[in-house]
Amino acid sequence: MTDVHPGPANPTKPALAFVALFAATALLAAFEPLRLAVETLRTEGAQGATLDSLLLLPAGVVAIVIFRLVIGLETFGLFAPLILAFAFAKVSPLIGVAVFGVLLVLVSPVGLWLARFPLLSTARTASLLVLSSLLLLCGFALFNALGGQLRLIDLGLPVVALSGMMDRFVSAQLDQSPQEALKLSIYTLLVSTLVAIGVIGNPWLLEQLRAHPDLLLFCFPLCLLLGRYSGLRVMEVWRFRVLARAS
Amino acid sequence: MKLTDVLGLNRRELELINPLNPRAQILKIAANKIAAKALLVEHGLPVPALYGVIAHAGDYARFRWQDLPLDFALKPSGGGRGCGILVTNGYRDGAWRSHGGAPITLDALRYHVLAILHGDFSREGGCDHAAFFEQKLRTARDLTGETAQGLPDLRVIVREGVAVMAMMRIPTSKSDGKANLHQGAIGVGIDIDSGRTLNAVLEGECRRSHPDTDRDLVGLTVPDWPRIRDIAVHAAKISGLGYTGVDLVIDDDIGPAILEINARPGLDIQIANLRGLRGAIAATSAPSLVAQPA
Repeated sequence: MTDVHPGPANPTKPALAFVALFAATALLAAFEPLRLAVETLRTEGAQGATLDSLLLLPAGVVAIVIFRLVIGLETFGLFAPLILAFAFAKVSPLIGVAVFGVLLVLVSPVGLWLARFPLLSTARTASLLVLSSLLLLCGFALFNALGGQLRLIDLGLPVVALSGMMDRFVSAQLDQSPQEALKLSIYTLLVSTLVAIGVIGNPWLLEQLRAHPDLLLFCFPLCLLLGRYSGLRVMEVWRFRVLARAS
Repeated sequence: MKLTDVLGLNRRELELINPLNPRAQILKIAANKIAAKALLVEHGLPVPALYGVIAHAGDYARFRWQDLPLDFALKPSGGGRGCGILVTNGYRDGAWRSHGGAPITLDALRYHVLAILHGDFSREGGCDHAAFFEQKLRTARDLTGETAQGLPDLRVIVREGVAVMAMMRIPTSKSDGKANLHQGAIGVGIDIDSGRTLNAVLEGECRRSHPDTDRDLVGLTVPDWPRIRDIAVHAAKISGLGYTGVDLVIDDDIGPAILEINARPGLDIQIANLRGLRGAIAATSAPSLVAQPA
């Protein structure tokens, strides 16, 4: 076996590397390459909403990484909470969470029922995805028929995001346990809601990013810096609270 | 105890798994139970007997299902967290029986093997989707002397050839015979030197007794402990992984036997021992996990 000792032999080395990385990013930002890119896209007629989404995406990713690595809220990957946050910013988190709750009650028992039959998981998951999409379609139609104000153009993303979430929920329910699946779902919805309110749907942040898009360059070194965080996550302090009490 | 002695997920990944468990070795051993079993047998370490392997469609077509014994464990070679494991408990009225007595027909068994071959239970990003049948291990009585409700197992954390922490996982009626702490099994911390039980934890809370039998779980001694610890250390060394959780069972017939080697052992063992892994590793004079002065 190789005799490798864990951890940095010299802790100042990575610290210096990060200082150099942030300095290089600041130098690059001084040339404003992203402002140039944004202006080019605007003159070529890019839609404002699409451009705004591209500007908010890196900030949303950083926020999710903080929730996962520092706070310790486990989610269904990075993509699911991110796309849900965009969806929630469009249709309001309250509606999103309510719709997911209804889907959970309707689709989850079908998933568990299907698990009793000898089916390969890809096909089982696909059938639930189809079911979720159709239910969402009917549900939104019903909502509008009853006087709701959801525009069809706003529905695409939430339908995809919530259907995908059901897929992850049922897989986790079968692979791990119903409690674990519920916990991951709640955390994913919580993170998505907070990112939707604090980042994706935050008009002040959008204004700043429109004015200074090169700030987004710092998201890259920031993600790497978060990748070196070796301390306890906030949730772990709670998880191991019994150890803190032990003599 | 200080919280700085506790090992968290971030530090486990950055300072133990990344530097000590090469990705290739994880795929070779932890994500391939058949290869791990072959390696352990080659080094004379005790493992449950292998009854058969179905690695692809050809094996599936040729497999002699009628030769399977009454009791066996069917496992995905690339599985983890106990997913995809099917254990039979006898054969009655034309079907094998599960732990709870539910029938497992030949068709259901075949579909389960197909699901394993399809990769439904594969973990660690491995591409080994083989299924294998092995001897079902038995432990009639748990540590307290009561009839075991399932199969209690032992987890020994080994870092660079040194056993640093251990626990026994005892199934309860709530865990339905499974030795998984998240499913309601009880974790019992074990003193790494003496093999004496230190503390028990159930669903994150400390306790001293078994929830079903009320028998005391603290102050007992795991039989044949030095040998069990040596087997775990030996297995970890030959695995080529520097930080592992070795799972063992004390079988009534063959004695201690290795179930599997985990490349990402969980952190709940700290609660069972009421001790942080960081502190335990520091105490075994491992140099770099000792808290650095500010």
